[in-house]
Amino acid sequence: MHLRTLNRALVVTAGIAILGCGRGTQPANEATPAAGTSAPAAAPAAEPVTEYARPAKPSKQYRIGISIPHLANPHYVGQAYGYIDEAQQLGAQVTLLEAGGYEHLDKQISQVEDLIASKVDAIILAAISGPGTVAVVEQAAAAGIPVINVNVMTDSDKVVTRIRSDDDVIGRMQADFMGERLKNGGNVVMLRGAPGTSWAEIRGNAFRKQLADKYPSVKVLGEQYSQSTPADGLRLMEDFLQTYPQISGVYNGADSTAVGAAQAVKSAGKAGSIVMTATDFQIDTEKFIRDGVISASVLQQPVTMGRWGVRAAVSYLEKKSVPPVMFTGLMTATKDNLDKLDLTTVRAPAGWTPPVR
Amino acid sequence: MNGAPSFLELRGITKRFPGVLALNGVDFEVRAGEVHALLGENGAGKSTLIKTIAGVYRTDAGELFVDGRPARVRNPHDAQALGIGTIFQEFTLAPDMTVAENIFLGREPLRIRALSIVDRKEVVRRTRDVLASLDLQVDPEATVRDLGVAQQQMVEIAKALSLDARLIIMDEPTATLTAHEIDRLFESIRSLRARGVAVVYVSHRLDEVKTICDRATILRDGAFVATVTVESTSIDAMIRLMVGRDLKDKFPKVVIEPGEEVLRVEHLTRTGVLHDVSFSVRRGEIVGIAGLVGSKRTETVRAVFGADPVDGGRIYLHGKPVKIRTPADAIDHGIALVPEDRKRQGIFAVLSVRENIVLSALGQFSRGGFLDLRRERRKAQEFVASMRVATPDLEKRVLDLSGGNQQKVVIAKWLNTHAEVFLFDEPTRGIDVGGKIEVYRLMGELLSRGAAIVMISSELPEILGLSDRILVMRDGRICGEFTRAEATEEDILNCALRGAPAA
Amino acid sequence: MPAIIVALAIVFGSINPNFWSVTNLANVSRQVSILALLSLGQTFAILSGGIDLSVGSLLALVSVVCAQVMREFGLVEGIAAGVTAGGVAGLVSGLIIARARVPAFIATLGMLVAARGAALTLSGGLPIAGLPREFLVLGAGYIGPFPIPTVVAVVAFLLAHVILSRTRFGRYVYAMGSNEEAAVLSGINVAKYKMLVYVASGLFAGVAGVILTARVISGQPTLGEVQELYSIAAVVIGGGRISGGVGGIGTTLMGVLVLGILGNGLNLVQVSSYIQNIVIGAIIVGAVYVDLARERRQ
Repeated sequence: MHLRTLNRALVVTAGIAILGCGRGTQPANEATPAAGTSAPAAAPAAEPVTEYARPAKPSKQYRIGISIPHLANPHYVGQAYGYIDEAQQLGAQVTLLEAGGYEHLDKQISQVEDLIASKVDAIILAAISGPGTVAVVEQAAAAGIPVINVNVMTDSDKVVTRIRSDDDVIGRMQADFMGERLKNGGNVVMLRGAPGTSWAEIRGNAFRKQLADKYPSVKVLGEQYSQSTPADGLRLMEDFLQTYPQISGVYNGADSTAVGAAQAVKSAGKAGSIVMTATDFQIDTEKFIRDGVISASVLQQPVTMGRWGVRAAVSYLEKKSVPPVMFTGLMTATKDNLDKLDLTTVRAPAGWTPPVR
Repeated sequence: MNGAPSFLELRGITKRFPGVLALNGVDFEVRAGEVHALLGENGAGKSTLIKTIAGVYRTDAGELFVDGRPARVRNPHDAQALGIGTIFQEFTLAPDMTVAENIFLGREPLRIRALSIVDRKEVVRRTRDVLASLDLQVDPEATVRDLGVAQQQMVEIAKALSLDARLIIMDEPTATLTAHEIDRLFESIRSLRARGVAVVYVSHRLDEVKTICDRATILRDGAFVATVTVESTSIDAMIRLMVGRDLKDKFPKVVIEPGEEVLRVEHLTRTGVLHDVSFSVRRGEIVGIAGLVGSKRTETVRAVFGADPVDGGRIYLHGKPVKIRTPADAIDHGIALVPEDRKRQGIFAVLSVRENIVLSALGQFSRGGFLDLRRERRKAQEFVASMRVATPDLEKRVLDLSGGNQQKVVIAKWLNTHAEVFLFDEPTRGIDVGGKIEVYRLMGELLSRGAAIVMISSELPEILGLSDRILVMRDGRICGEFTRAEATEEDILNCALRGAPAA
Repeated sequence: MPAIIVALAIVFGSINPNFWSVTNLANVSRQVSILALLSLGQTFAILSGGIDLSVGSLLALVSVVCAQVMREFGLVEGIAAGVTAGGVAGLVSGLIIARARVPAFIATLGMLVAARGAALTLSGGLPIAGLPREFLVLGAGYIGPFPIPTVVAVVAFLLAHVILSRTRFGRYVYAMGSNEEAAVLSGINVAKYKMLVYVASGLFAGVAGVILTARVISGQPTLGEVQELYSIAAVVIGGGRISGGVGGIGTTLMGVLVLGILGNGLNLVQVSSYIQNIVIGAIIVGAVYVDLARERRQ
């Protein structure tokens, strides 16, 4: 399974490059080959890890700085819970900073610089932009502060480890679901998510590739990038419905856009006649799945991501070896299994709010 | 009027501002139904005193009595409640609302009290009543912006009256009125007097004071000087009290043998505005342009200066035709324009005296592309000294100078450009007596240095006193030309009103 | 105003001594240099009686143009193209304001929207990567102990100061802002100088955009959102009057420093960015209020 993933990752990267040239715009992650090949060690160490236990509680209280793009959806709130709770378990002190959105790259850079100036012991970074955060990661490395990428990757080999879902699998899972439902062919539109992020790229490209390979009768009519907000999803879906009267499926790289897109579909009276897939599991996504507007969502485990991030930081600081690539698990949610899902790794506990003062 | 009761009495009023004692123990008494002038040079404290009465300023010491009883005026609302209404130079009307809406602003009669719905018909009806009592032919539903300045002022008076004012303070009411409109204003004031309403009349125009006022109080340097009966006091005497010294020459006229022609304007036309305007000016001569408001005198000099476009006509300087399309062209040819509205067109209020003076001739003060501040300071200092501009230093903002000194700064700016032709538009408007004399003196100096001057003025005595030749304009045309010797006020007015000199 | 800056620094420094560390001071000055450059251009615009709402979007446009040209042609060409793009955008705004006589607020608002749209169109909405590593030096490098962006900002400040206080152009800017009608009647070619003002603002934004692109080593069409408002805030907090004619490079510098120290200090003291915005908003209003109160007393 892992080797196939590696292969696919390489192929996907090549695909990105070809697609990029074909569209006349520049691919965002050209500089980074797939996660697996960036590690300098021998092949076995490059295999992504899918389980990561909590290390022993260290004697020292480490200070960890964390920088994420925003806290505007349950995915990042869940991640934040993972960081905070795990830090508590491991006796570490955490500073959580968010940049206010994927548009605020320079704010994130400033925040990381401030963390470096505060001499934290380690930095966990969900990067707004792959190439854009290279400089600041190298600055941290030069100052002897290890950087751990969680969820969104930086295009630098100075990162100690990369923790995320296998975005490739997310894309393929949505493609499989869509392909099975639209057996007799169909027209699909894609709401890819935030431009320039590793997840938007990899997931979307994997989706396309899987469709092209296994379900050639399903065609992609159009795709758009946007910020991860319901308002953007609503707007894009309304435009799509106007432009392409015969849409049978909608792909969502992230779930905030799915919520907006679902709203648009419902308002247009097409709920149930369009297959919609999404990623992640906020409250409205769950509601729309129950109502049959969204057909299925691929759930990441952001809480797990958060936990592993802190574990990796502590392990590294305790001079233990840390696997360079880690994939947290995935689940599919459909109307049928909604009530049977274990959401402790997906969402923060009800009523919990992140302590960004 | 001697037996009339006192309506308003101020005793020992003192008011301080940071660094300045504006009023020093001033006494002031106004009787019911009298027209009482308030005189004094700029800076004497007139403005401060009336603002104190109107409730805009709070006093530091002193007492106020209304109808013989002590009263306190802490804000404009109190003043209004006591029956004191004020008409300042800057009107307080809302230009985009109608006359009726303005008059009843803030106290509109309501049809449905709970919902604050205004009874429009009632508002218009009451407005008509008020306007009729002043014999004012203004449509209550007209928008204020569309009214002429004089009518706007009438609306202000009507507004004050509708508030049951027993005292109306008028600050320089005739500054922007023509002779005809001033007569109408005086009629209104007389009817106010007949109704027992007192008027405090603040003005620089002593001849008007002589015409309409009963008594006059003179202030000097923040202190009370005297209260006189106007009928038995000459203008010279009033001036002496205001200024503390004798002013021999009201209009110091420098008589110079005029030299060769400097500026000639032929057939200047701008569709709908100017019609075939032609005149010429010689070195050492002042050509005055008289006319009523709206006769397009300002537009004429603006056209010569290149500030407005023209559709026809030619301009000659020293006999040679020149093309003047922008003010920069005019300046290059040695023409200067001192505009009508100092605040809006003449001074750079927040810039310093020095910066204002050198602005139109920065080329003289540049060295290698950079401004030479030392040279600027030297030149500015020269002008401040020679023109006696009252300012503590060169870096003071022009905004903080008095009207007369601001005007001097504007003139200095033009002197810097070595202009030969000076176009003055209302050069002494809003300037006190002492300041006026200085401006006249400056103009005389310009003449002796060989300049040619065109002067627009709405003060007939000023035009008659200073000009060598007088042009009268009406509706964008020149309808009459007189020499100094043959001109009379009547002739000029006749021409201005009807378009031809009296038979 | 300088007293306030020192006071703020002392307060923050005592809560978190890291404030005074060389690294942090270098960081602050680097982070603030972009805002500083934008504020310089904004100073010219506001002093002249206008305003430039487009500078934030110009950062994005410049970034995209710079990155694309750099990928095709090379480092120097990219930088030149970026700065030029800013100047050209400023020229367009200037023409609309000076010749078509559209109010500056509207004209630059239009440019704000159009430039952002252009940036997104040219880049397809995606960041443009693959820029040469040497470019990073412009954004992250040092000259001695000073970050390069800081040096650039300081040089720009000095240049702007000289222009504003010692050249005819600068004097005319003040005159136009104080009384445009009087300026025309004094023979100043107001149309020409207004245009130059916006070209200047565009060029400053161009330099800022290039440096910001270097900092993130990629062309980013989403840069600079809201930055135009901070540049206006900097001018106003320092004591510049929004109606024009009052203010200068010195006062803008004060405003920039206040905003920079506040942003950095509040970060170090771990105040959330939401609360930071509230604080900054309050300071903008407060600073202007204090200024006006002083005026009224005079």
